Amino acid sequence: MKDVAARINALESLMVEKGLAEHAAVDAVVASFENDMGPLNGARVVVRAWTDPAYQAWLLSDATAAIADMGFTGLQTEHLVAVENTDDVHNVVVCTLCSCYPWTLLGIPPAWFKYPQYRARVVKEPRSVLGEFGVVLGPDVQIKVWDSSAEIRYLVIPQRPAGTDGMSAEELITLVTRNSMVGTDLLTSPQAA
Amino acid sequence: MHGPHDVGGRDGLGPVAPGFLEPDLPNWRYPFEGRMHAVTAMAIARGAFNLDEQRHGIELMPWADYTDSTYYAHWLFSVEKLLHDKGFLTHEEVDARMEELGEPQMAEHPRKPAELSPFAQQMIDVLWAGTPHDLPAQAPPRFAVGDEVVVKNLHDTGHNRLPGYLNRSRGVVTHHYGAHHDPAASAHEQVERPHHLYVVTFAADELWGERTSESFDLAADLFEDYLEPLAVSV
Repeated sequence: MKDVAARINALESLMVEKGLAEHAAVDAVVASFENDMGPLNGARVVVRAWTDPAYQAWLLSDATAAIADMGFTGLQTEHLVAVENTDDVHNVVVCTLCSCYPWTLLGIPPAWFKYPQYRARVVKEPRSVLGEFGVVLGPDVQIKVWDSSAEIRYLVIPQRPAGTDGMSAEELITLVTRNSMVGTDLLTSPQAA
Repeated sequence: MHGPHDVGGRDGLGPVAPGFLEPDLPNWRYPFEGRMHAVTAMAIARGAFNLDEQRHGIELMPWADYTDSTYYAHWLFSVEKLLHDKGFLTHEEVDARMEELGEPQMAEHPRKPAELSPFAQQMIDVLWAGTPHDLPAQAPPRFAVGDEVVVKNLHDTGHNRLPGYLNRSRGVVTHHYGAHHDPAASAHEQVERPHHLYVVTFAADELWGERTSESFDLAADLFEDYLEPLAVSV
């Protein structure tokens, strides 16, 4: 690990020298990823879909346009599809070949999404893998796995928890977890949490 | 190609690491990860190589190295190899610079500078604009939603986006995304060639055999040339 850090440090230094990078621009890009791109953006999309049926319909039929309408465009977020979890269907997303993930909406993918264990197994035994995340689905719930290995990025719209009818959009946003938008979490109602 | 990156369905990798399930684990666990990510985006923005070449570079890692290293070590391997092969720098220069710089000093969470240089501003703009990959089609699509198809038995050694576990599997076209740029043409010829892209949906037992322990559907994004019509018996 130390060698990797040192080698990346050397590479950055040489790339700056050769006009391919700037140290301060690296700082700016890292800060943007860490502070401005992340699951809060995805949560805003989800909550708007929960609270506005016309928006929900638009999101499900043309996610790229519906999400651009909220200002969320960007790298690895160019071509989007939203898939909705219901009482009958549970969607879960993977990229078996690498780590395809909608950066603007969800941020940089978490470690589990990028490492081979999840990628190898969720396409073969999703119910068992979901169990490792604490997601236990009824036997009648049909699982749909999306292997997003080309340029389309998928956003899972989790089910709105029961008992949240009176909550404001800002309150609802705090309930939406990153993993629920990949399909590896179920949202719980605030009373149960 | 079905290189070390093509892990779908492989057995023996074990459970998802429990430490990775911590909800507060930062997405970048070490400062070098974010910096590797950023310099890669910059090299692409500067035209040193494209995203498909970068992906293919990872696929060319020796298997043992891929399995035994962390995610951003894969990026490092690919980016350094591409910059070396294309004449921007040499592996020896990186060795020497590493020696010279010693222990790296990297800020944990760097702050965005108050004043952005034109290049930094360009990078932030790219971050929020993206680089769409759809293209006008040059030929009508071969398949329509509802068509039964079979994945060809493909073993190309170049770059493509066909997971090996889908070879020879029968599925149904459930969506057509229009044409997107072909990853092989982009990686090997650095050209944008339109290629129809579909969602094909497969049943678990078609992929994993009748003894598979779970029942589910799997949808994969597949380019037209990976597919052929399922032969209809007369």
